[in-house]
Amino acid sequence: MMRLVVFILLLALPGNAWAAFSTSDDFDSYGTGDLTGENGGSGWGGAWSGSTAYDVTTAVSQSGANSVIYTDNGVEEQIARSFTAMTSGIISFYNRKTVTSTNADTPILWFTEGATPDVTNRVGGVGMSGVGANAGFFVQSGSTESQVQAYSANTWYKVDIEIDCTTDQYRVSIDDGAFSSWYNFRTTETQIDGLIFYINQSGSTSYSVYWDTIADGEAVAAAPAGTSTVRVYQGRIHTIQGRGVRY
Amino acid sequence: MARLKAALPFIILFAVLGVALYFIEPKSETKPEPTFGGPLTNLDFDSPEARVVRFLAKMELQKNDPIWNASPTVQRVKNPDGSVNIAKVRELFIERGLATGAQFDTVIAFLESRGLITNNTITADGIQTYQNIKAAKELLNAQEDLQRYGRSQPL
Repeated sequence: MMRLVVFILLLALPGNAWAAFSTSDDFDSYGTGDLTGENGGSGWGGAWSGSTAYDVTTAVSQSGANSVIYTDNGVEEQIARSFTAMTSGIISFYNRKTVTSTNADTPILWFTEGATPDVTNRVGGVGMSGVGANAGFFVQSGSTESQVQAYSANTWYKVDIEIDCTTDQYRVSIDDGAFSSWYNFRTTETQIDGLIFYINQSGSTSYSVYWDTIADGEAVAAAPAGTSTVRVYQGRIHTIQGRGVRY
Repeated sequence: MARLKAALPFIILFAVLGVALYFIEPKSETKPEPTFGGPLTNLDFDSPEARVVRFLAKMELQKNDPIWNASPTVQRVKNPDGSVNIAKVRELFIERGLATGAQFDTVIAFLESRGLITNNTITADGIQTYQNIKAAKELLNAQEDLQRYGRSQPL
């Protein structure tokens, strides 16, 4: 009987009890215009906060009606939001840029640790680089930047960032391709709890960049369309560290 | 001309002395600081030694955190009694490209010789070393951010 009670309690626990990314947002519950101050989606802490240069738009979207757009305005910008802390798991999102010019800024999704998500407490992330001979998805590994792969303009790409705080590493998959090798965190962390859409303002070519459909990449990968996911973790049922189900 | 002739012995003397000093004065050593098996105060953040210290320290500091323990990587390297299985950590380090097997073994022996781990468990000195590595890296990052963004703290 006791086991049954514990099992039911574990069922009721939020996703973060399993340390994974338990946040989702497709921006469809927002009105068009400023993203800052918007508070939809699930698994977040607080509202989107930062520059008013980021808007919710219906111009293009990867799913549903809305996405987020930033159009080059010649200024370094960021907008951020905290989420329920994770120690490992996959942050999944979609990214699209209107140019591949080597002279355009690099929009980057940084994942962060700290009470206030900000570029100064970035841990790692993925950007659509305009730097170098071949524009492409790029990562920062420690203090070194690396290209992951090239991209085409005006195309949605699914980006999965797998995070592991035990080894302070992350790796990246584009469009469900093979994961990259592991990259280094910039810091040593026991959790990740925020993300920012950041514009580095490194170029002079005008462009727009879009983000859409932020989700738990593990759940997305595991769930056939129209079904829910049940994941069972091996362990001891009599402690909170043991077996549980996340859905 | 007469003055030049008078000064000539001194010019020659200074030239000889200069050449002599060049050979006599010891050259400054420019050996790079070792990052593998080197002094712990100079541990490179991503060196195999620092990686092992960071990993074991976090495993110790977070051992009572159920969210940390739920991580698949933590579950993978723990024994049923909750202790860290160093052979599995070794496997993980090799798989993740953090160290070769030989490097890992050398690091473990090195850290044990420094009293930072005992019986594959991190000691209080090891935890302090982790805190030092963390603080040094945060300082470095702050300096980098100050240069890059003009600030090192969130707005």
